Amino acid sequence: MSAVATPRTWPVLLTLLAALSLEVTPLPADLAPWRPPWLALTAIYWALAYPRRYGLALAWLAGLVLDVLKGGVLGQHALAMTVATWIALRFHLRLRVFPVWQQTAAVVALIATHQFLVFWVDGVTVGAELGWDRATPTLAAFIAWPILVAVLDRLRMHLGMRA
Amino acid sequence: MSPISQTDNKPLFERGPSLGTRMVLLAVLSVLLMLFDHQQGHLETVRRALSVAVYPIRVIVDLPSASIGWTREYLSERNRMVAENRELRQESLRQRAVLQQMAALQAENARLRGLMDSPARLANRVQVAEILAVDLDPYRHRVALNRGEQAGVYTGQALLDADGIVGQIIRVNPLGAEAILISDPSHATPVELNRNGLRTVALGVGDVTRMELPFLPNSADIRIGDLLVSSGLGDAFPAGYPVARVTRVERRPGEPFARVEAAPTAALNRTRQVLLVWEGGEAAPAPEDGAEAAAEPLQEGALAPEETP
Repeated sequence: MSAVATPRTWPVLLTLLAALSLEVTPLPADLAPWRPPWLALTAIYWALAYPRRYGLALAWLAGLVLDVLKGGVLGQHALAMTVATWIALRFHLRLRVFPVWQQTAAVVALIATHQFLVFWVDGVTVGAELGWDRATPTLAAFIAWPILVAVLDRLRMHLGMRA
Repeated sequence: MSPISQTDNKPLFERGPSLGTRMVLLAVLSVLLMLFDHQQGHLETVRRALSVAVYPIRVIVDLPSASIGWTREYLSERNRMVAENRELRQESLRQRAVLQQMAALQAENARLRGLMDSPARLANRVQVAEILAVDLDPYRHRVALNRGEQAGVYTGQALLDADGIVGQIIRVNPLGAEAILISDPSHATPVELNRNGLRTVALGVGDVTRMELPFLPNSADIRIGDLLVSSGLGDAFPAGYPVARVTRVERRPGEPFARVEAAPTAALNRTRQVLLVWEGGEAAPAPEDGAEAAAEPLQEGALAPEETP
């Protein structure tokens, strides 16, 4: 746990906290299904741009907090976040040098995996049915990823956090 | 080598378990958590501890919409406030008139129940709670409230608004609580027809404007526009509060049950304030102090919630 105490952890923690807030910010009913999975996107961003040993554990913990925040089954988002972040960490050297559109496509594929795991757990625990509203967060990630990268890259450069 | 890369660099050779091992460990831990949480519900202490930690996030997220409300109150024009005040006074007067009648009716009801030797109905006490403007799981109908354990909220407590039953509490934290709405697909409300006392169950379907009554035979005496009130069976909700109004009755000769749908009377997706009900706080009031006792439950704040039996 000593790695978590290094000074360069706080930007990661703060952005994850901001992403957690965005996950529950009220949206109009028509827009609510289109909420991008901010927390997973942020965790994937840090996994690609600033991979550290604590990345996976932190993603798991953030997922657990999201479970409590959303009132779901404990471990649901924790599992999905762990798997998505693991894939991102595993291939971060390749994904990092992709052009923007290609990187976006890869990240959306990751988010699709993440969303499938979330849906899977919902299906097992409360018998959820597959509908179009399950696909909309993945589509929203298409638009959200380039924006997130632009914002967090600036922040990272400003703070001098090199990969 | 720059100082940044000095502090920031990764070890050339990683020690400890590999990435894959750590992923598998964490995934197994998540699955165990899910099993224990969903099957046995053993993790309430973990959830409680974490929920205290996430409560600030909920409050911060709720701040913008709450502050919009305050600013609107603060900036609204004087004559509009006066008009609103006048309207509220008139409304209050009307309701007091109704309440006077209510006192007489309650007294009459108590006398009649006495004649029939049936136990007296208990009066309910209520307290106002606010729904936090926080979107919980989009695939379930849940809301977060700003009253929790310190206010005496308990699991299973009924939630009302001005027009009917909203839902019930499913989880209580030290500072807040979570409630399930009657429109959630996993929620069933025991109801009866106000007109003839026919009892059935209203199921949520995941739509705030629609509920289903799947267990009514084709021959059931039910019509469009009938009011469904809570029956009080199942000990979940206090009896006699409106739940929904029948919007569709389709009798299907080939099927054992009719297709009946109803629309919840409460504004499930529009209310910001809800009432928490403590059932059976005290016995039904005697005829003399009826008016006072009837008015008392509506006071806000002054109510010290009692322990539930």
